[in-house]
Amino acid sequence: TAMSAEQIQLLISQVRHKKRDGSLYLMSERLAWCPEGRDHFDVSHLYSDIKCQKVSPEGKAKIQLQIILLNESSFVFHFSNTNTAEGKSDREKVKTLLAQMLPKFRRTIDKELEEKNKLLQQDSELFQTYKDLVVSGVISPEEFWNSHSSVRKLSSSKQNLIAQKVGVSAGFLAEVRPQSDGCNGLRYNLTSDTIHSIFSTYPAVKRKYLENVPDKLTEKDFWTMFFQSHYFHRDRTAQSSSKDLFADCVKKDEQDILSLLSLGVKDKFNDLTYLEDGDSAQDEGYGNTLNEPLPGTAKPSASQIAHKNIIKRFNHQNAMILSTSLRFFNFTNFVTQEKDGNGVTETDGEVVIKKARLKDATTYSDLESPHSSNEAMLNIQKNERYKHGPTLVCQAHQELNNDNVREGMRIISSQCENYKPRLSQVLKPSNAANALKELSSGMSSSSQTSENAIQHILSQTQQDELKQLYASLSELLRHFWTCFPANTTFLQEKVNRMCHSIETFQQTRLRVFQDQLRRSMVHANVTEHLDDMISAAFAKFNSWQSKKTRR
Amino acid sequence: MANEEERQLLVVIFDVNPVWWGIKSLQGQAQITKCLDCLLVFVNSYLMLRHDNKLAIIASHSTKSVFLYPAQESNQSPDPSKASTSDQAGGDCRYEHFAKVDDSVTDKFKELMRDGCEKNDIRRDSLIAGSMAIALCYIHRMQIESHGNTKLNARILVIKAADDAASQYMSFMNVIFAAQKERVVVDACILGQDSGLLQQACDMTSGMYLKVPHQDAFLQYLLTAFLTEAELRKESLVLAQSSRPREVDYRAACFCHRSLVDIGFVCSVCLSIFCQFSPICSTCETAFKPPVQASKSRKKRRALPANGT
Repeated sequence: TAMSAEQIQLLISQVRHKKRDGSLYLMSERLAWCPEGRDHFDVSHLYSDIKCQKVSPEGKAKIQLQIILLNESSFVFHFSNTNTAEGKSDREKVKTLLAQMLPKFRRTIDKELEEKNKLLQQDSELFQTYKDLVVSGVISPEEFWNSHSSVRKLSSSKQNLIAQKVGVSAGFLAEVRPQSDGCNGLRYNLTSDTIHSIFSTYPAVKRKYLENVPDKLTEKDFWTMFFQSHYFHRDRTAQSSSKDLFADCVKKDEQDILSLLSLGVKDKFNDLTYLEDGDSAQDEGYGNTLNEPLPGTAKPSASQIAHKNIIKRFNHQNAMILSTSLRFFNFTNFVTQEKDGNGVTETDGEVVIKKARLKDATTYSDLESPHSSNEAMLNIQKNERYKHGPTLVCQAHQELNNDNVREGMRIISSQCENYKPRLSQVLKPSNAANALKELSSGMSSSSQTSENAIQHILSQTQQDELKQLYASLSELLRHFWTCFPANTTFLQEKVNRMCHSIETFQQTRLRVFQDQLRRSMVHANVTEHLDDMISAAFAKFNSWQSKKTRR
Repeated sequence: MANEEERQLLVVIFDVNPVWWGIKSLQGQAQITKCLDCLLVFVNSYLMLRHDNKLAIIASHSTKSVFLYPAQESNQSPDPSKASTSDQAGGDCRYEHFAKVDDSVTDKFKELMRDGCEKNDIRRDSLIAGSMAIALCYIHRMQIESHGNTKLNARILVIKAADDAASQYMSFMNVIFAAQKERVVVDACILGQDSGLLQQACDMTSGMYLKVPHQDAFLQYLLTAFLTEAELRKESLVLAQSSRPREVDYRAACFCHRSLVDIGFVCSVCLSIFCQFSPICSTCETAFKPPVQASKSRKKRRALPANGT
C-alpha cells in the first residue's frame, strides 16, 4: 500500500518487526510499519481493528510491544535502539499514544454478535444452514436466531450472570502476615480481598475509613492505625486516648457483644444455659475449677482478664463474620427475632418441632425392624382368570377315541418293541443335499447391501447435497409448522412468509438438484420424500387460507 | 472357538407322543424309530466335537417325562438278558461313550413305549412344559456340580411333534422366563405344526426355531442348525439370517373370551385384559368411567355456529 496522506503523529525509527529493521509510524487513523530502505508499509492496521496492546515486562532485555487485533492475530515490534533508555522511552511514547487513540476508534461490538459469530464458527452444520437460509435470502436473520435453541443457551447464560458471592474467610486477618523489612519495622501486605473482608466484617471500620480517608488521613496511615488497634492485637485494651481512632470502636464492640449475649441462643438444643439442673454448666471443665471461687466473687487476675478478652474477641469476630452472610441475604429479621425472656413459654408448634427433631436424632431407620408397609389389599374376585392362557386357535378337533388312534398306537408299540438302532442307514445323500440347499436359501433373499441402497445410487457429493437439502428444508418446515395455530397477526404474517420461502426453496434449490440428478442419469426418485413434505405444507397452507376466508 | 473354560451342556427333549406318532405312522409320513436313529447320530456327533461336552436326553410322553440319558440308577438287579446285549455291545469296538449313550437311550425308550401306549395315555399333547422344567432343574444341578470352576453353557433342544395345548400355557411361559433368567438357550425343531409357544421361547432366549418340512433329511437339519452352540451361530451367514426375528405372536388373551387381542382395555387395578369396555371390572370389581368421546362432538358443535352466523 502506498503511503497515505494521513497525518503522522509519531515516528519511531529502529523498530524491528519479524527480524527486520524498520520504522514504526503512528498516523491519525492507523498504525504502520515500514522496513528500512523501502517506501511502502509492510504492516498496516487501523486503530479500530486493534483490540489491545501489550508490553514486555520491565526486566526483560528486549523492549517489545505487541498489538492484538480483533481477529486474534498479533504483531510484535521490537524497539532496538542501542540506548536502552531511549528504547524504553520510545516504547512508552508509542504505548501512551496508542492508549489514547485506541479508545477513540474502538468499535462497540455487540457482545451478542460476537457470540453468534463464535457459534457459527464452531458448529459447521449450523453455519451451513445459516448460509443456505439467511445468506440466500430465504429467511431473515432474526427469525433464524430466534428459533435456534443454541441462542436460547446464549440468553440463558446471561441470566446466570448474577454470580454467587464467596463468603468471608474466618482467617482473613491471619493471612495478612507481617514481614519484617529489615530495620525494626513490619510490612503488611493488604490485598483488595482482605480489605473487602475487613470492611464487610467490621462495618465500624468501614465507617471510620469513609469518614477519614482521604481527607484526614492517608490510606497508609489509616491502615497503620488499624493494625495497631485492638482489632489486630490481642492485648490492647480500651484506651480512652482520642488519638486512637478505634478507641470508640472498642466501646461499641463491647456493647455489641453484650447485645449478642442478651439475644440468647435461639435453638433450644444448643443452649447450654438451659442445663441449670445440677448446675452442670458451672461444673469443672466449663472454665471453672473447684478450688476457685465462683465467678463474680473474687477479683480476677490479669492473665484471667487477658484470656477472657481473647475469647471475647474470638466470639465477637466470629459473630461478625457470620453476620456478613446473613446481612447479604437480608436475613436480619431472622437474627433480631424477639426473645421472650428465657423462652420458657413455648408455643405448641415449637414443642411438636422439638419432638420431631429429637426423634430424628435418636432413631436410625436401618436399626428398626422392617416395617410392614400399609398397602392396599387387592380385592380380586376371580383369581383363576390369571391362570389360564389363551385358547389356541390351531386345535385340530379330531375324535380321540378313533380307531385310527388305537391302530396307530399299536403300530408304534410294535415298532418300539423291535427297535434296534441302525445308525448307519439314517440319511441319504440326496436328501441331505436338498436340506442344505433349503437352509442356505435364506442367505440370498436378503443381501446386506441391497441394490437399492443410497450408496449405490448417488455419488458422495450428491449425497451431501441431499443432506443439505434435508437440513434446510426441515428448518423451514419447522418454522412453518410452529406457526399453527396462527392466533396473532404476527404468526399469520409469518405463515405467509414461510410458505413463500418454501416455494422459493422448492424452485431454486430442489429443482436444481433434481435437474442435476436427471442429467447424471440417476433415475431413482430420491427426492420423493422432500416433495411429499413440501406438498403437505402447501396443502395445510391452502386449507388454512380457505378457513380464514370462510370466517 | 468356544471359550476354553466353558463347557457345553445339551439337553434334548424328544416328543414321543404315541397318538401323534401313531397317526403319522399310519399315514406313512413318519416313523418314530427312524427319528430316534437320527437323533442318536446327531447326539453322537455332538459328543464327538469335544471330549467334555455334556448331554442329557429327556423323552416327553403324554403322561410323563423320562430321562433316556443319563439313565437313573434303578434298584432292580440287572436283567441277565439285558446284560448279554450290553456285553455284546461292549465287545464291538464302539467308542465307549457312544455305546453308553446309545444303549441307555434304547433301553429306556423301549421301556417307556412298552408301558406308555395304554388307553389312559391317549392325549393330544405331550408334557413339554414339564419336560422343560425337568431339563432346567437338571441344568441347574449340573451347574452347581461343576463347582464354578468352569462355566457351563447350557441349551435345550426341543424336538416337538404334537400340537400345543392351551392348558400348558401358564407353565410354559413360566418355564420360558426361568430359562431366560438362567441364560439357557431354547432351540426348537418342529416336526408337526407351528407352535406359538416355542416360537416365543426361542425368541425370548435367542434360540433358533426351525420347522422341518419332511423327515427324510431330519438328520441333516439337526446337524446343520443345532450342532453348534448359540454364540457360534451368529458367525454363520446362513444361520444368522434364518433365525432373524420373525413375526412372533406375542398377543395377550382377553380375560372374558380367552381370545388373542391386539388392542384392548386393561384394568389399572388388577391388570386384567378385556376386549370390550365394561364399567365394572369383573375381576376386581372396580368401577370405571366410560371413555370420553367429546372431541368429535365438539368439532361438530363448533362448526354449527360458524355456519349459522
